Amino acid sequence: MVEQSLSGHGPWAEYQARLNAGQFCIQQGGDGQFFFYPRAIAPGSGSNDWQWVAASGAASIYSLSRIPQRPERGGDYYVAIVELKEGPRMMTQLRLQSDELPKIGDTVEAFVEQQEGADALLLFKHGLQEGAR
Amino acid sequence: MSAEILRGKAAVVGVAQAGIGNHEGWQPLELMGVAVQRALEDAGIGLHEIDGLCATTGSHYFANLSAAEYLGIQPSFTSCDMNGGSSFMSQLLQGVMAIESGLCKTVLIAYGSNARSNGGNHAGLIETPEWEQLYRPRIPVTGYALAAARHMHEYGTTREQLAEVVVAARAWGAMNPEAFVREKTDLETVLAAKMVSDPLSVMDCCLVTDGAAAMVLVAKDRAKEYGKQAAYVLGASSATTHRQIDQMPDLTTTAAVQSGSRAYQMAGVQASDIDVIQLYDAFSINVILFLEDLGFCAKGEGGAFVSAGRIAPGGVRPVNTNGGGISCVHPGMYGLFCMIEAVRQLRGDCGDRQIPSAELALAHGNGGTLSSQATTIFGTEACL
Repeated sequence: MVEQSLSGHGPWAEYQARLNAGQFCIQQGGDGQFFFYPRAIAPGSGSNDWQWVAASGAASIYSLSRIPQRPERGGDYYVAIVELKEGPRMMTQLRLQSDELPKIGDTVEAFVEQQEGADALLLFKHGLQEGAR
Repeated sequence: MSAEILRGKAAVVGVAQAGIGNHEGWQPLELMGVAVQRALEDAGIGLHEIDGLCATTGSHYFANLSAAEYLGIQPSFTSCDMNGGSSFMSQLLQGVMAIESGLCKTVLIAYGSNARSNGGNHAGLIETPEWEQLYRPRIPVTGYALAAARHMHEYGTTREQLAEVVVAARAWGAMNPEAFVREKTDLETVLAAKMVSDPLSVMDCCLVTDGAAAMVLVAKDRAKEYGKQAAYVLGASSATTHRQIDQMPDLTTTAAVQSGSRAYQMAGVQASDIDVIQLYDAFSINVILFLEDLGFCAKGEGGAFVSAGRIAPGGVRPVNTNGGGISCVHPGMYGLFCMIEAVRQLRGDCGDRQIPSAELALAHGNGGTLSSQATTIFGTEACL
């Protein structure tokens, strides 16, 4: 196994740098398993044999919670755990694209929200029409 | 050598609680000090005999150092195992190990918190997982809400069944003179409560109180020298699956499956043998998950198990006889209070809420967002 270099920055900063550049990447181990969040070694195997790969962005809602919030503060929002097509799960917030309310099992799609003066944020769109994807 | 060698090697000979409720002007170590004095008195043991210490607060990074200094003792064994609310169950097992291996003779497990009078400040929750906090979950409620939503999706569990847990807890709390909330409630009221993180409402959440607790542990062969009736530690085990809820392998199955089966194995008992069930009810969904994962019912049947008052006073399977975190006390970490109720039931000290002929008690702890699970099993001398 090749020794891991400590030059540059760690995996989390690399993930964020890629996200800030508009690209959502996750890690894939030498055994083919994908993992998220960003780690220096692959969870479970402990291997440093991994690489960055562009994520498909396709995911489904694994679980979901609506959080009530006053309209003047932005109204209710949805915190979800989504399961990426590649396997890993992550917490996120949904951005509703239609009047359809989200439910467990629904398809969602990743997008990168650039924020002024702050790091980019990975979010997921719900309620996209087929063909609009 | 296997873990079963630890079965029955140590016993709890003193327990006490203090400051449950709202005690403005009292610091965590002060409340802890009151609980320690009461537990030592309960055991009939002197402070100078404490040579093992497991101290926890929500506000001290070096809790054992602060507590040892505060108490004026210099223990030869300390453990600060920190897994959230289940820490005390882990510490109990480590205390048994320390005594059995000769590192010390008398272990004090102690906790103090002023979470309520200090404005609901749970220091342990400040370390919000960095990935999750980007998405503004209501920590820790949303983590449990996500588990509840998935359980409802997979098994058809309902909000009415969650509410049954709350109604039962409040009915037990009404029978416990030490409980912070002593008013019963009903399903209608619980279902109408304000939503915090769907499907959990404010009434599905445990209390935020002040409170302190202490427990004294000695070797089996010294157990009869002290205190009242000893509660022997028959089994204990901890397990963990994740820190952040999105990393939990299966949101409907907790690590209580592992901690429970190992604790049962050490104790040589099974779920059907248990007389007293105390489960860490940080949220209503916890009770349903743990009843399933600890083998009291099949996976997915927890909702039905808790319904129609079955775990409430007068029910066929009493659970959380002190009122639990929902009705009695939850100062940020509830695990020690959970074990103390188990011990008191075995002693027959529980008055109106006493479970008749209680010989075997299970106290199960939870920490983080279903992250740490730790099961303890206590028995009377007849169980040795």
